[in-house]
Amino acid sequence: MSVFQRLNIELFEPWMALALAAIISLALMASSEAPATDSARIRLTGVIEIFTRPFNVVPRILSLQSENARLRAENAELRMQVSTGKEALQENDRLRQLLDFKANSGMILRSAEVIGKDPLPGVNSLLISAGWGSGISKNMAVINDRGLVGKVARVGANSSVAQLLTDRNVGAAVRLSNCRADGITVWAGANRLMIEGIASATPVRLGEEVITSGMDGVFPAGIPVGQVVRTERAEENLFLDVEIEPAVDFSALEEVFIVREGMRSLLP
Amino acid sequence: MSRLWSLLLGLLVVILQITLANLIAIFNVKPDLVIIFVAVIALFEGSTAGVIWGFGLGLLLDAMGGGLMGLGSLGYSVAGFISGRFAAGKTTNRLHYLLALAFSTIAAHAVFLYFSQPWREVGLLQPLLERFIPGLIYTWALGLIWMVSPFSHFPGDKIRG
Repeated sequence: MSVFQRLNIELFEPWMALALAAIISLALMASSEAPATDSARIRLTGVIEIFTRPFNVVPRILSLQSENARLRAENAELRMQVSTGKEALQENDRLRQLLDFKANSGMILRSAEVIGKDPLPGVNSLLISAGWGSGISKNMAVINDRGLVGKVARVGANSSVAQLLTDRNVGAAVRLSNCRADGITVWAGANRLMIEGIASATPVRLGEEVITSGMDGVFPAGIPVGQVVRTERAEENLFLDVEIEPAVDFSALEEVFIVREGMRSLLP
Repeated sequence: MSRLWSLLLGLLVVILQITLANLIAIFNVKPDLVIIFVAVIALFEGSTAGVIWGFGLGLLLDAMGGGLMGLGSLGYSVAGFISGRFAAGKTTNRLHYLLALAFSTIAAHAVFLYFSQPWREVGLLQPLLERFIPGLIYTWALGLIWMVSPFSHFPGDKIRG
C-alpha cells in the first residue's frame, strides 16, 4: 500500500485542489498590477477577444432599429442647433481674437466597438476593439457622444479593457459648470456618482452640468460627466454631498471613443 | 459528454457571459451563466473537477475584466468545490442540483462581494440589494429553467421513476 493510499489522499483531493486554487488566486490578486501578470492577462484577452467578435453581431442587429430612431430624432435636433451654433461660433472667434486667446486643439478620437461587458459581479468594465495597434495606451479617456465613459485600464494588440466611471476604482476630477467648484467623482452604488470635495458653502444648483476639470491629468478638461440631481448639506460636515446622474447610459454602450489626444484648454 | 465538448461548451458559456448576457439583463442585473455551468459540471464530476473548471473559467473572465486578477478564479473555484459536495453519482437528482446551485452561487457571490469591496463607499446593504441578491435570484431562475428543460438529465430521477 502506497503512502498516498495509506493517507487516504483521495478524500483530501478536493480540499487540496481548492487550497491550491485559492493560493494561486490570492497570489494573482496580490500581483494584479505586476507587469508579468498584466502581460499574461493582455495575451489571454487577445485570444478570447477573437472568439467574442462573432457574438457581437447579435446585440448590434437587435439595437439597430431603436438606434435609427434615436439618431433621426437627434439629427433633427442637431440641425436646429447648427444654425444657432454657427452664429455663436462667429461671435466666439471674434471674442477670441480680441482676447488673444490661445486656440484650442480638438480631440483626436479613435472609435472602438464594445465587445464585452462586466464579466463578474462588482466589476464594471468594458472590453473594446482597439489596442496599442491603434495608438491606444493605458489611462486614455474613454468617451461616447453623451460624455465620459471611463478610462483605459489595460491595452492589448487589438483590444483593451476600459474601467467604467461607475467602477469603484475610478475617479475623475470634475468641475461644476456654474459655480466652478472642483471635486472628484466617487462611485455611489449601481450607476450613481457622488462628487467629493465640494465645500458646504458652495451654491450648487440642481441640474447644474458637471464636466471634467483636467486636474487629474487623465481626463481632458471639458468632457460632460453628468448633472447634479441631489445635494445635501450636513451641519457637522465641511463638505457638501453632491449626487450626479451620469450623462452616459452605462447599460447601453455599444460604441465608444478613446481620446488619443485631449483638448488642451477647453476651459479658460 | 466528452472532455472536449465540455471544454468547448465552457468557453462558449464564458463568451456568452461577456457578450450576450447583457442582452437579457433586467435593470442592469444579469445572470451568471458560468456559475450554472460550473455547478452542473461539479455535480456530475465531483468537487476536484468543479474546482479545476471554476478556476479555469474564472481566470478567463478575470482576463477579460478590469477588476482584480484572481477574483473570478477564486469565486468560481469555491463554487465548483461546494457544488461538487452535493454530487451523488448515479443517484444525483434535481434536489441535489438545486442545493448545489443555491449554495455555490451564494458562496461565489460572497467572494466577489468581499474582494470587490463596494461597502467601502456605500455600505454593505446597497450593493447587496441592488446587484448581488437580484443577480443571485436571476441566476437561480435561469438555473431552474435549465433544470426543467429537455437538455437536463439527472440519473437519480430515472432510478426513482
